[in-house]
Amino acid sequence: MELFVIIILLAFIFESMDSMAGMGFGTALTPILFLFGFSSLQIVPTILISEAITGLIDSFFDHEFKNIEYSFHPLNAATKVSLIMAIFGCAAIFSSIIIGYLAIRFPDTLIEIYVAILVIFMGFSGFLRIIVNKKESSKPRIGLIIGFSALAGFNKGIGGGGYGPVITMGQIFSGIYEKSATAMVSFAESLVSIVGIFTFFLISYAGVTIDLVLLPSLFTGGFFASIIAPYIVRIFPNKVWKLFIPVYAFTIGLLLLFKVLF
Amino acid sequence: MTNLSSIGRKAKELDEMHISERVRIERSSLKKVLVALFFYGFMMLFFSVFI
Repeated sequence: MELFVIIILLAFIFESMDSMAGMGFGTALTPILFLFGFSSLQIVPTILISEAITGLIDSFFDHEFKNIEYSFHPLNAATKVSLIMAIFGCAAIFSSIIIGYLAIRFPDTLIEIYVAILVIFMGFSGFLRIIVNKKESSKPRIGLIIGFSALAGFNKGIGGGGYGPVITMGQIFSGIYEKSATAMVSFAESLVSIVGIFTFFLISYAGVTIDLVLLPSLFTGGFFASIIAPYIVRIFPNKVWKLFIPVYAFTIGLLLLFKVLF
Repeated sequence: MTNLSSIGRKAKELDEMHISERVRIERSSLKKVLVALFFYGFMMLFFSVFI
């Protein structure tokens, strides 16, 4: 087993940002790992496994530090919304597999530009929303939550990514408290990652070799972030996250656009 | 669908408290952090055997 200090540090930084803003682990870390010379079969499965485990730890501590309250028996509203988001995320993975299997070709660049512009627009709208509307969030609307979950799943399913930014900003636009929105996204993403892991196990049975050399390093960085980040979310008041999340979404959108264009 | 307004209620209540309240961690939470660290050790042992 090999540990890479730089990968541990990067995983810690981006998992912390992902936990605090509900987005960015895969989007930001994947291109950096490609730059280090790792292949997609070394990066994608390890990110999924790491995200699945650390996402569950993160969700546990979000609940423990009272950023969100989950209940499974009976299911409470937060758990139900997280499951709805996870279902759309899982559907996205299946649709992307079917699309790949049927060899349907969408123009990749066009899809990625569309998702990048959508994320930039959502980040900017979130920022404008703070300036224009000073009052607290209105009552959450389930229709909007489902709509944004479907939109995020659709984007991911056609290969455009941006699941985290769209679903996090979508929840905030739907009236969910910012601290709780990012917590629920972590939970939903960990469930979606579990489905992704099964997909990779299936393709490994079909003869594709998966290399997990990055896993101990990604897991180490992600593990410590998944305990510390929920505590940081707890300490800082919601007004900090209200500003931080759209600004980070805007940055992620710019990163996506930059990646496509250059 | 149950009451969506209940989402984040505890977080809002905590936000209204002084920062000294938000910084303080309960003893039971510290125990859970220790259990998580034990889990981390177990996972690393697992990786060292299988990777």
